[in-house]
Amino acid sequence: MSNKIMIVDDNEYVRASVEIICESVQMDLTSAACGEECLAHLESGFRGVILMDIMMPEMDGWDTIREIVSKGLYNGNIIVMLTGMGEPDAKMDGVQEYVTDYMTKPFGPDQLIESLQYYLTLLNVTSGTDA
Amino acid sequence: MNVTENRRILLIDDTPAIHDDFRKILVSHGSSADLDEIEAALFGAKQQAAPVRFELDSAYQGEEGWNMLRASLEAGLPYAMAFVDMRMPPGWDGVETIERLWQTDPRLQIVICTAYSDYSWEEVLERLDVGDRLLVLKKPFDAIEVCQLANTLTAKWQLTRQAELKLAGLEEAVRRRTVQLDQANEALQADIVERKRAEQETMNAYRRIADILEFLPDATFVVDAQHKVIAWNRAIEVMTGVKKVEILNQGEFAYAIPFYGVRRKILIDMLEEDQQVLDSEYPSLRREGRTLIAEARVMLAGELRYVWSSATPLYNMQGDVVGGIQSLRDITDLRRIEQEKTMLEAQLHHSSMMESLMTQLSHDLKTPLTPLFALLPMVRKKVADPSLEKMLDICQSSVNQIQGLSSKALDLVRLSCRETRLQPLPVQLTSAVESGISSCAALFLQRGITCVNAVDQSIVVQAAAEQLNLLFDNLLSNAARYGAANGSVRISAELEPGTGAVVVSVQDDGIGLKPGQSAQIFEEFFKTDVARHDLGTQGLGLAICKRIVLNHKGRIWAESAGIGQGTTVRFTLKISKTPMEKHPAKGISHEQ
Amino acid sequence: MLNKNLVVIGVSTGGPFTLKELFSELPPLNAAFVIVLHITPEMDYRIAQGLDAVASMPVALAVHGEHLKAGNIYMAPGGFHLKLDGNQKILLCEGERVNYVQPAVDVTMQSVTKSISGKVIGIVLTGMGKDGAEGIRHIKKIGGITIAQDQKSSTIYGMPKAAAQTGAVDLVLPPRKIAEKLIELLR
Repeated sequence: MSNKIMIVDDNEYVRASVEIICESVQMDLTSAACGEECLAHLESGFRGVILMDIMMPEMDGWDTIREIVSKGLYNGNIIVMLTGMGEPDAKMDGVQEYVTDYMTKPFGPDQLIESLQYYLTLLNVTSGTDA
Repeated sequence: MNVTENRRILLIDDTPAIHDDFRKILVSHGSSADLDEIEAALFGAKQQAAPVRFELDSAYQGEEGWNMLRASLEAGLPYAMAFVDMRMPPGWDGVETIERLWQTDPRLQIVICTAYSDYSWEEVLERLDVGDRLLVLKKPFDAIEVCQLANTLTAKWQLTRQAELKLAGLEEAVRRRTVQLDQANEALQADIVERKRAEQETMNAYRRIADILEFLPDATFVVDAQHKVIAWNRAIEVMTGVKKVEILNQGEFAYAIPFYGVRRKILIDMLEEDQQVLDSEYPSLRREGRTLIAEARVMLAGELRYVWSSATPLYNMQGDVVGGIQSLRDITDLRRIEQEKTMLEAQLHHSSMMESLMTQLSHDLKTPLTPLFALLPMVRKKVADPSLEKMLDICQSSVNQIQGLSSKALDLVRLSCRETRLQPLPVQLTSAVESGISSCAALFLQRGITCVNAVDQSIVVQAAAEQLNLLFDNLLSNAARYGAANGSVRISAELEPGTGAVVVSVQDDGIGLKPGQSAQIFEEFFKTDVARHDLGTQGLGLAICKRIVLNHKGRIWAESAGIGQGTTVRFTLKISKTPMEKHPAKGISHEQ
Repeated sequence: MLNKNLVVIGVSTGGPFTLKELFSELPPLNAAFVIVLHITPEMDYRIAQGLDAVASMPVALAVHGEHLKAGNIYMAPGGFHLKLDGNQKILLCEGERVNYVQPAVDVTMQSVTKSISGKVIGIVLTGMGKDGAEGIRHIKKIGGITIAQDQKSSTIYGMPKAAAQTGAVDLVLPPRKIAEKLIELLR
């Protein structure tokens, strides 16, 4: 049963906040400060719910997702955008099916936990027989 | 016949012997030698080569003589004189004959020969207008007397004739001269008339120019070469309050006084200045050809005014400067408008800057807000100590306030953004109301307020649905906050006749408004509690509502009977002209 | 027995949660529900199962050639476009992305034909982009009822906004109200 969460955000306080929240519900958090780190984690085998910031320097959230997909690292993950941007811009065209949810900052801990838990449930579904 | 030589004499006498005598005396050559001597001795003349001799014609009756006179005149050979006998029966007597003779030829010199004193001289004078044409010869008479008479009277005839001719000649000359003078006079008269006409024309032309000048809309005055004011039109009278009569013919820079209060050079005087002087001392002057243009600040009627002015020299036909003309225009209003425009542009620029700043700030606030939002509740959960709980609650409220402010501020900026164009669609009004009610449901519940949606289902407005929802969210959360506890909030809508709009009303029975507050409440950050401690609200809600209504080209206002008597906020929206499709989904009727 | 009423739902980012919210409110209804969610082949069954756990009607991935049955929820699988034949039979087609996505809501909705005997309802929920706008226009044209999610409740207001702006949307509602409306229409 996976309980893995990854936070990809260039702001350390955001990362720290998510970490604290996740720890409080025994979720296992991996931190990435940028797209490259995220990819590195994925390549090392991370699978789980990825909380992805959009506005990051160098490689933004969309580019990171495209990289993830093109490298075939998407399967087994659920991506949730976690961002200060009110509405996504046209850069999201083409990656709709890879983005399962979109949460705007600031967010409350309960709201985050609820989402994470639900998505973890989905990830833990095994194909076929589950009722 | 040579006028100087008329020697024709007519003798009218019924006695033939007289005729012979006369002939001997006057005409005959033969025995004239001693007569010649006598003549010479009497007249003192030297013996002439050709002695004077006469032509003598005879008539024996008065009428006969008269006929001969007539014939002589017709032949152009008039008699110089006639000897006429006093008595010549049976015909006319001498006097009558003379009368007739003179009727025919008044020039005829006559000697009347009389033996008797039939008539006295006085009687003769009575009967005849004698003048100096008549002499008397008494019979018997001498040859010498006859000769004297013949000579003198023929000479007299000649002289008289010469004088007449001369006079006639003179008269003719005078007449001719008079004609010339008359002609000259006529010509002169015509010339005078013409000149007068030309003068009149010029006068008219000047008058027309003066009229034009007088009624030019621009304040204008004209000076002559001595800088004396020769024209001061109506517009400048109005501008300066100085009438023509006061300033015409004034010199010594009198025209500066209405503008500067003192006599001094003004633009019109600069026309004579050297270009270099102008450039160095009056750099703000502009020259266009011969015209100088400048702007100045002057005092008119006690007020500071901006005046634009142009001055041009006036020339005569020879190209000499004979004066100058200056026009002025009060551009104070124009200046003021320009200044206002500059200010507005600055304000606009400032507003844009503020907008960008606000947007940036709102975004940037999210970063520090995130950990606060995320972690405060976590801390709160871990804490059991009530005092700590209280502290954290306060912190949480504060954080919520910050977040609320930031979010609403961003909303406001986004709604006000000039680039985004509204794309209104038909929206069922009541559904927006419902949306608002449900989002404030918790607050209504908490305060025990009943919310009544009295908006008719059929009302469809032209609006951007998300803005409309936001509008009702804000209005209803306001109503929930300020409505009386356990009171009610009522939303209704009425069509505004004739305008194609609907007036929506949101009415609460809460704290109401002070008089004068009804406009203020729509201002950004306005809160009715003066100390602004109420953290539950940011004071932006109604400002957002106002922006939304304005985006939809409607009006919004608030009414309140006073403190404690509730508030009604009303706004207008355009009715949708496109009817929504008739649908079983609409309305409450069920599908069969 | 042939299904009469058809509900086609298009949704994308924020879908799983929103669908959860919507279907947890719905009792079994007399209609077939076809959900087109932008999804990958490896994720599709997870979402379906997650939804199945909370919905009152069974949820399964749509199968090519399958006939729609009332009271069932069919999810378009990832990697295909879903078309309906005669509003009854499911056809899964491979093909180019439409609106940059696959499965595309427009493709499904535009394959729906005018119904003689039952209701056709088209719903566009939260999502990025504008997939579903043309589909909604089509549903309206064939006499169907059209619903778009409102801005406030939408995770991302992109698709519902695009749908609303076609002017062909009858109702703009949050999920709970959509549920109420569906109950009303399909009782």
